[in-house]
Amino acid sequence: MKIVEEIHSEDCFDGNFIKEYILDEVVTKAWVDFLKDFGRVTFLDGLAQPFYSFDKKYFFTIKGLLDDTKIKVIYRRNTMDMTAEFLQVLLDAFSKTDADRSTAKKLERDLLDKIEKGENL
Amino acid sequence: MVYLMDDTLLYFNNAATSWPKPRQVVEQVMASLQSPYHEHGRATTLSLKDYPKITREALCDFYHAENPNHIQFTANATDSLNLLIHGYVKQVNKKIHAITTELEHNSVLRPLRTLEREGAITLSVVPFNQRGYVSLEDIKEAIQPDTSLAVINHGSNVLGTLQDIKTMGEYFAANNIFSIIDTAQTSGHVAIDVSKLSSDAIVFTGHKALFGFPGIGGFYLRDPEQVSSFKQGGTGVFSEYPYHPKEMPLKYECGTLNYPGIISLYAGVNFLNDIGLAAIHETTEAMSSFLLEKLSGEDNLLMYSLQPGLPVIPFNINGMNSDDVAFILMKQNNIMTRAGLHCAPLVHKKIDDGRGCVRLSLSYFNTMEECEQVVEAIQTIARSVQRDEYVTLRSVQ
Repeated sequence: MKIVEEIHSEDCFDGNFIKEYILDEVVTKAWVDFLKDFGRVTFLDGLAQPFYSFDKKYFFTIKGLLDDTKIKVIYRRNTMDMTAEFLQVLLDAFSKTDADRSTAKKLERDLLDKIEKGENL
Repeated sequence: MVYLMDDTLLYFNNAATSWPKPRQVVEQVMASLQSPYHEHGRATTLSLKDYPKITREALCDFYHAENPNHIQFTANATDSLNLLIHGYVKQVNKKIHAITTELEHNSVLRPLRTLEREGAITLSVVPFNQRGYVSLEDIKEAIQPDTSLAVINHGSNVLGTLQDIKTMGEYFAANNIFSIIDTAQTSGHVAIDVSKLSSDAIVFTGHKALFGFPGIGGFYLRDPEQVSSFKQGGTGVFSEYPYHPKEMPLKYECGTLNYPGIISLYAGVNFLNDIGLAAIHETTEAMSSFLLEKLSGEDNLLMYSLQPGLPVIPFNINGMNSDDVAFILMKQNNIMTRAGLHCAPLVHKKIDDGRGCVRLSLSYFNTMEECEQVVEAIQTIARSVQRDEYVTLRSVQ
């Protein structure tokens, strides 16, 4: 999956920065399941379009509905320069091989190391 | 009756800003842009309407006030409250004790807390009870020998409860306490007759139930001698005088006014007069009663105010983050609400441990059909959660 358009951008002035994107394909349950390996996923199944939320401390929160191309991403402002790349990797690695998933995990670890060292805090 | 760019949107965020605006508000502002404004003292277009003047008169009638020149325009209720609170403390020119309530918006709490931190006042915050009301007994308990200022919320922006400002105002007046009433949520929903109130000032904003545009608000001040002005500048008159005039309505207004905002407020008040506040209340009351009845019957809903005087309905779905509920309502059902703390942190600290809630807030332009859709949407979410379908799949942190 890829981001094809950024449709909204908002500085919350509280440490968060919201962006809304349109993806080139709809979000499926398989991607939400994939996200479980990288953070906390909450899922509400009993709706016409199920709701999901992915939260990764220090990185961002993603919210959206299944079968929708729009996603809302709430970045932590002070790490978003680095974590925006990680979002793209999460979108990209999902549809590819295990090697790509390993790349995503490695980037996750590298970013966490940097963040925990306070490089972007 | 209204202009709608998106007639599929179900707008339930009117306590923040009312939408849509009445057709006559939009049309009157658009028409006003076709010719230059009559700027008092600053232009020669004498044949044009003096909108600030006629809007002061309209507001004076609306609030049953005595003197239209004591109606002042500001940017919003927050601007008015800052001006009155800081201006009163500056005028008193000694350390005083002030009281306010837990129901207040940050537009009241933050100016007062700032003055407290600066050592200009001491502050007592009077609690509200389980039903969302502040009692006169609790106010009396908070009074100290040097209490000189009270800032009181007329209608809560979270709970929708109305306070007895008449009785409170009489008590404050009897005890020589300068009182300011924040009617940001009530003006346009509830009749306010300042001739029957003893309070010293009432604050309003244009962009909520008065159906004006964002960026226009104001206040009515009974005695301008009690509040200092801390802005100075051009007034269009007395230009040879080196200081800012003390005459009303000039005392607190500097520079060119927000003419489009004032005209929207004028048209909004005229719209309210045409429809009648009683009819507006009857319409919104019927819808909010319907919502309350239907939603309070849901097992999985936490309802925080069961008998509000305003069409404001705060709730949470058990176990769900309020932001998630609002997100689903917006994205799946095109229902716009507001989630979070609503700039009233002390209310939320008491009702939901400061986590925040979802707020439905109605206007005259909502319909019963919309309310039925809102009930169905909320019930669907609440029942899904109840079936354990709102689950954390895995946490690796």
